[in-house]
Amino acid sequence: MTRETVFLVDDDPDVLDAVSFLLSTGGYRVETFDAPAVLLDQVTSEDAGCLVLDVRLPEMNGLELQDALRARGIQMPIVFITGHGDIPMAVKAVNAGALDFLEKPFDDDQLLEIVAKGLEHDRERREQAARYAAIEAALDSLTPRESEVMEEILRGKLNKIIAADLEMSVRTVEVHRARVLEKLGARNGSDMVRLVLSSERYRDWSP
Amino acid sequence: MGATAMNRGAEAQWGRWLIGQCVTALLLAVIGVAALNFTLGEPAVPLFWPASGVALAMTFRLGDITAGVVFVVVALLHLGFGAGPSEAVLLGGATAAAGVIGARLLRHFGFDRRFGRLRDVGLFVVIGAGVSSSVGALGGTLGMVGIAESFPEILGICWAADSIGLLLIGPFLLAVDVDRILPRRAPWSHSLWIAGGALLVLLIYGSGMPGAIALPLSYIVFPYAMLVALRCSPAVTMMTVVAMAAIALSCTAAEKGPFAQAGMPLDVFSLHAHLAMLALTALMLASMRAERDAAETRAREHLAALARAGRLDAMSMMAAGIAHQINQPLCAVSSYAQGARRLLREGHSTAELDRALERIVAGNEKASDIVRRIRTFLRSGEGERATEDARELIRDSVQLIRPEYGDHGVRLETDCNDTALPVEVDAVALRQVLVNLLQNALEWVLVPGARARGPVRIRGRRVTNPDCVEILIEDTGPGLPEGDRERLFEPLVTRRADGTGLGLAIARSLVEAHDGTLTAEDAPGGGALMRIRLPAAAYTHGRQAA
Repeated sequence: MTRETVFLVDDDPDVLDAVSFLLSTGGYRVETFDAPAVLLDQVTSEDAGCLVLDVRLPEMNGLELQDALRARGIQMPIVFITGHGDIPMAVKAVNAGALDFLEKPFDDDQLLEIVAKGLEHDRERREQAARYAAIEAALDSLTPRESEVMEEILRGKLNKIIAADLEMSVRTVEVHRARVLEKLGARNGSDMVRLVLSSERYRDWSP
Repeated sequence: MGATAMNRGAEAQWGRWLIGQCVTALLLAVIGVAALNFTLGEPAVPLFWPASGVALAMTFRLGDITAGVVFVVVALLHLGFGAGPSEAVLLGGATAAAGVIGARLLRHFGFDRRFGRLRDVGLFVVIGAGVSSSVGALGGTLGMVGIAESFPEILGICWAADSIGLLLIGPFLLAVDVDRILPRRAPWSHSLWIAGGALLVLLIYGSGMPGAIALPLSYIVFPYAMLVALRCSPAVTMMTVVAMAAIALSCTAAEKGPFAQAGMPLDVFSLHAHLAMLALTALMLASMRAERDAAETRAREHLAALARAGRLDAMSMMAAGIAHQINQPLCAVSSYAQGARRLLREGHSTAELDRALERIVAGNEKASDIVRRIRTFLRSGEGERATEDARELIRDSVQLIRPEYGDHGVRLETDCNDTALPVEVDAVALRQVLVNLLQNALEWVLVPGARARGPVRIRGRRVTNPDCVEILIEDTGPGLPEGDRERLFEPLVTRRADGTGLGLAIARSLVEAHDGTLTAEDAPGGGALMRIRLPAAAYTHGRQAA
C-alpha cells in the first residue's frame, strides 16, 4: 500500500512552498505541483491521500481539474484553497463533490484539520474498496454449483426447496452453503446476502 | 496658535495696506511735481498728468478709502503750486472721484489687474481713458478756468494729459506684484530687459545725436517693447515701458532728444502720443501672450485631470486581479509564520526556523512591491520628465495587468532585446498609456467570436531613421473595425458597454504631449496593432537599467 500523501497544486511558487512547509510541520508527506497538467501526469488512482488545489490555476480552473481527476478514476478527497473573490467557484466545486474549501490566507489549524479529515475519508474509501475487492475475489472463487446454491439462497428459498429444485440432497445443499459462507467470510445467511448484494456483480441482481 | 497666526496675517495685510497708501501719496507728490514742470501757457495746464492713473490703480488695489489720500495729496500739491483753496479742493476731489468711479467700474466688469486677457486691456482703456480721465479733466478744467470761453480747449488738453498719464503709469501700478519683483524672486533676466530698455532710450535721447537720426531711431522702442512683451509678464513689460517713458520725458524736459525740436507744447504732445502708443502696443501684446499661456496651461491641466481619471478607471478594472496578486504573498507569509509557530511549540530548534523567517521577509517585500507599483501608477505626477528605459516601463505595466490576463486565460508575451531603450518621458503618463493599450488588447481578444484567446504581444525596439523608440502592442482579436481608424482615437468612441471612451483619446494625447505618435494598424496575423513611437533620448548612464 502506498504512503498517504498530500498533493498540493498552486501556480504561485511562494504559496506552494509556504503551504507545503505548513503541512510538513503538521507531519504530512507533501508533493507539490505548479501546474494541473503535471499533477494529472503523475498522480494515479493507486495513490492514497488527499488533494489540495488552488481554485485559480493557469490553463484550467479548479472545477475543470476536479472533473479531469474524477474522469481518470482518482477518487481522493479534494480540498480547494481560494483567493479573494473566488468563493462562488469554490462553492460550485463543493457542490460537485469536493470535500471543503479554505479562503486564503487561512488558519493553520483549519487547514490541518481539513487535511486530516480528507485523509480519514480516503482511508475509509480505500478500506471499503478493499472490502469490495475481497468480495469480488471470493465470488470468483465459488464453484458453479456453489454459485447456484448461493443465488437460490438470495432468492430466499429454504434448503429443502433448494435441494428439490437443484435435484440434490438437503445434506449437499448444507455443505455448499457452509462453503459459500466460509469463502465469503460471512457469519450467517443474512450477513452473506448483505455482502453479496453490496458487490459490483450483484448490485443490480434481481431474483 | 491658529489665532496668533491669523492675527499675524491680518497685521501683515494691514502693513501692506498702509505701505500702499504711503506709496500712493509719494507717487502723486513726486510725479505731480515732475509733471507740473510741463505746463502749457496761462493758466498753467500740465501736459502730462499722472494723478488720475495713480488714483485709479491704487483705488482699485487698496479700496475706496484711498480716495481720501488722493484728495489730500492732490489738493496740497496744487496749494503748493499757488492754487487757491477752492481750486485745490475741486482738483483734489475730481482726481479722487476719477479713481473711485473708475475702480468701481473696473471691478463691476470683472477686470483682472494682471492683464491676463486682451479684454482687460480694452476695459482699462475704455474705463480709464473714457471715464476716469474725463472726470479728472473736467474737475481740473473747472478748477483752473471755470466756465470760460477757453473751456473746451483746456478740457481737451487736460483730458489728453490725463489719459496719457493713465496709460503710462496705470497698467504698471495695477499689474506689478511687489513680492515678485523683489530681486531674489524675479529672474535676473527681467531686470536686464528693463535696464536694457532704459539704456536704449538714454542712448537715443541723451547722446546728442542729430534729430534727423534720433527721431526715426526713437521708433526702435516698439520692437523692443514687443520683444519684452513676448518674453515676460505684463507687469515686467509695463515696468520696461515706464522706465523708457521716464527717461524719454526727462530728456525731453531737459531739451534733449528727438522731440526737443519744435518748442515745448508740440514736442511733449508728440512724445506723449508716441509713448501712449508704445504703452498700448506692449500692453496688448503682453496680455495676448498671457491669454495664450493661460489657455495652454488650462489645456495641460485638463489633460492631466483626464489622465488622472483614466488611471483611476484603469485601476478599478484591475482591482480584483491586484487584490489576488497581493493576497498570494500574504497567504505565503501567514503559512510560513504559522508553520514556524508550530515548530517552536513542538520544541524544534530555532535554526530550523531560519528559512521560514527568510521567506516571510521575502513575501512581505513582494506584497509591498505590488502596493508600491500601484501607488506609482496612480501618482498624480507633476509631469516631470526623466530619461527612462522603455523596457522598464513595459515591465511595470505588464506586471500590473498580468493578473487580469491570467483571469481570462490569455497569454501576455513581452519581447524586448537586451539594449536599453532610453526615452525622455513622464513615466506616470507612459505607464498609463501602456496599461490602457494592454487593457484594450485584452478586451479585443475577448470579444465574442474572436478566433482564439490570445496571446497578446508587447514589443519594444529601437528604430532608426527617424531615430525613435517603438513600442508595439499586437493582439489576436477580430482586428480593427472597417473604415476610419482615426475614429478610434476620438473621445467617446467605445466598443465596451461600460467604457468611458476616453482611454484611447487620452493615450494619444499623452503620447503626443511627448512629441510621439500613436497609430492603429492591422496586425500581420489579423488582429490589431497599436504602434507608439517616441523620440529616442540620449543614453544616460545614471538611469541605465540593470
